Amino acid sequence: MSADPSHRRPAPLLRPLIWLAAAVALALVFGWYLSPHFIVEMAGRFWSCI
Amino acid sequence: MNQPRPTLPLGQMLLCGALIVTLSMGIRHSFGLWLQPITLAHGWSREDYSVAMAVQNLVWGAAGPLVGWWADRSGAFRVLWLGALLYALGLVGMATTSQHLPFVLTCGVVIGLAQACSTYAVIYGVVGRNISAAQRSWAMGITAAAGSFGQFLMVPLASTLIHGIGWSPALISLSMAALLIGPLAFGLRESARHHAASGGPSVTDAAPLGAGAALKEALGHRDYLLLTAGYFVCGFQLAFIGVHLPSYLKDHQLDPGVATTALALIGLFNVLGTYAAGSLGQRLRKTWILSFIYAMRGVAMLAFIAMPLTPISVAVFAATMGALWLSTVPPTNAVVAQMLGVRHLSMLGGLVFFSHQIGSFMGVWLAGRLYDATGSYQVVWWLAIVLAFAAAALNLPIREHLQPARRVVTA
Repeated sequence: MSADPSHRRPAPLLRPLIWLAAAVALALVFGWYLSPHFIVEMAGRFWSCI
Repeated sequence: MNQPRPTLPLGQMLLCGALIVTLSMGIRHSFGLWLQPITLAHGWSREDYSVAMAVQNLVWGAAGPLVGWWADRSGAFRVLWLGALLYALGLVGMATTSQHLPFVLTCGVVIGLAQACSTYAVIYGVVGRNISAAQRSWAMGITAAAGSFGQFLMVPLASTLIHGIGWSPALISLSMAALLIGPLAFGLRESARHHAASGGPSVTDAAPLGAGAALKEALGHRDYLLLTAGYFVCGFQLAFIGVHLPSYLKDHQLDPGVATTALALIGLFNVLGTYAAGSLGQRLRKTWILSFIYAMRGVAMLAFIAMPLTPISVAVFAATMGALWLSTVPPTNAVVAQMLGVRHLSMLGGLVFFSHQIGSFMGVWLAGRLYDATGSYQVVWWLAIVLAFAAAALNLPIREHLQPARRVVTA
């Protein structure tokens, strides 16, 4: 393994967050295939909130 | 090991590499959606569009080793910028031309070159040079999974764009997205000193080989040739299933929604399978992983054609094949790096990928030809199954360790 600190894998606390974000992204895209209008509408509402 | 200190931080390298591959692989994966609107708008046949796509795949594969050589020599930064500009130019050309020859030149040649400049082989060269061997397979898995995610994401996104703003403005939008590859390339910019120092010495403790000698060595390397032959099968199977599965399901009177669900499942499990293959490559022998992937593809296809075709059997097949889809990418490239070093990884990885692209071309073309000749896909399914087990057998005897010849090279 590299001794360079910048080359360590993400800290244990960060890993669940990365996995959660990845799972949400995958679920949203999967939903986009099965129900495209619903996901586009949800994205529109989310966009209007921010 | 005399490995030079990496200059690129891991997070920056993986994030930028992943985003670049997400864009380049994702845009490319959505091209099927433009078949109908473009052929309708210009009064072309489907064959006219297919010719451009076939040229694109072959140019991508054929340019790979040359572009890889350039990336190994000068670093990925300039190559990625060229890829971004060519991608944007090609997409604008696709959107604006109404003549067939310019369409083949833009969609086929220009975008094929752009893909060679912006996909796995170029990114893996940077990853290989800037990460320890112990982490390499995992890092390649992350990058490949990002490419899989791009493919998964871009199909519904492109479909929404086409329906929302029209096919031509949708292509212009994608051309602007492709330009983002340029700024992202700054995250993969290596220092000249590190680039020159990395590669050969870090792996072999021998004087580094020149590109010609490395190519000669690879082509005379039994295990490299076995790996290349196995990758041909990967391309054959994916292209056949990706292009012809929807028609196969339609021929068996299944609802079009079944094909959509199958596409979604392939995309979802592709991301998971690709990451898993990369991570497992850190713990297990990568050639065993490759053998397992090819053998499981054979088993999945055999079960699929042997059992009655139902929405459930299609979903199970799609999920299984999805998990095995691009999962060959990280172990294959990691084995190349392990066998032959990372100094010429983009060029040698590009050459292996050329074999994949010839397989893709054969998978699409031969399936269509055999379907026309026999009236069904049965022969092609059996061919794909036999090739799967052959590829599994080809990968088993591959030795991942460095060859003695590499250790005695003199300056």
